[in-house]
Amino acid sequence: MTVKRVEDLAEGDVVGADVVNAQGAVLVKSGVPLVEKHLRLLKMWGVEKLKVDDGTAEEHGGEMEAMLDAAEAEIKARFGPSLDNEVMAEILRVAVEQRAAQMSAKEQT
Amino acid sequence: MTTETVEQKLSELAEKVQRLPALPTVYNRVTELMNDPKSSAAEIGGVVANDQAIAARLLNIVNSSFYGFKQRINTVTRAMTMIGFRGLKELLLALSVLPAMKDDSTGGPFNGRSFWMHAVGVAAGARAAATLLRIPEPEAVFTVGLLHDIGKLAEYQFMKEEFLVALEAAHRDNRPLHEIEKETLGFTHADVGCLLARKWQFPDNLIEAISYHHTPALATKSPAQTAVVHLADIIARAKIMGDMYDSRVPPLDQRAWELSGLKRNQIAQLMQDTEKEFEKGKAFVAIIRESG
Repeated sequence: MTVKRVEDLAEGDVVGADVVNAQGAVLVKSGVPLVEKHLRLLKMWGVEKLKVDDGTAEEHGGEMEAMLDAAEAEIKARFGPSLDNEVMAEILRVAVEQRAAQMSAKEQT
Repeated sequence: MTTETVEQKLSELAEKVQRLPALPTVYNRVTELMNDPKSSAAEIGGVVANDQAIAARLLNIVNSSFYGFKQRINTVTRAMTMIGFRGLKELLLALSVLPAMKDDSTGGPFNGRSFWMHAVGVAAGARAAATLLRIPEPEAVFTVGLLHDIGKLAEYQFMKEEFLVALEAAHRDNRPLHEIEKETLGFTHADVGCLLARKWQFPDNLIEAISYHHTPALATKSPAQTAVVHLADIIARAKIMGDMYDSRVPPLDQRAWELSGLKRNQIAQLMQDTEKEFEKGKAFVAIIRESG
């Protein structure tokens, strides 16, 4: 998942999260591949940025990245020098992702 | 530390452990009956039902989200049908041991609540791994995970000062507690847990997991289960389940990993499942501790 400015969008980009106007009405639903009509609509409503699903699990640029950094700082220190083992490296990677997801869920409630 | 000093300390500790009260009669009686081919399910059910306090707690747990049965279970005999003989025995063991151990510390390096949260995390990880690996009766592995660190409770009870100093050092130096214990005391909480497990005549699989969860290559009778508990300990710490003073994630024993039969691409699934099991496990421990 990545965040793009509307002027950088191209036809075929897949919307990563529902785009809503100030009244909460959905302008474009998550998962829709953008066509010319959507691009016009987004500009008309003054939308500046939106999430685009680029096939990656992480969301670059934004709160999620900050949470991943915070989770890594919290968990990595507990591992010591055993990270040269590929299983331990995978456990750390998953633990960081799951911790960041927990932090994000907590923030939204 | 000389060998004589270590031996003397361990022998003093063994004497104190021996003076701990026996587990409730119901656990030993049920174990005897289960080993007796002439005994019947009704007889075993009767022994449990006669101990009303244990029977009530047992039914509370069997009806909790831990098992997730759709229908309400009102009798011990029905519970036995649902969870099996072995499931009943493991449950009785947890019901007998948890209330017997002192864990009243709420502040400082050792905190009873954090201790049990970590124990539930390891139990959850072990149960999740057993389910993923299709090991029969994953609830049995849950009990093993739950009791794996019981030696720490004995250390807290019988050699509090030295135990707390070791915990402080593990925290300060960000090192596994068992390494510090080995250096400063000459033995570890796993050794002390072994004394306790033998005193209470725990089954062999449980004695091995308690004794060798940091050195799983030494397990001979139940190596796969010990390997699963070793791995679950790493996962529970990586997921910060129970924020303990000794928070360092212990190193992985590569042979234990291979023996577990897990693949690297199953780790994310296992860790996700561990989280779900953790929620159910917390309810399990809360029922036992609150009514103990």
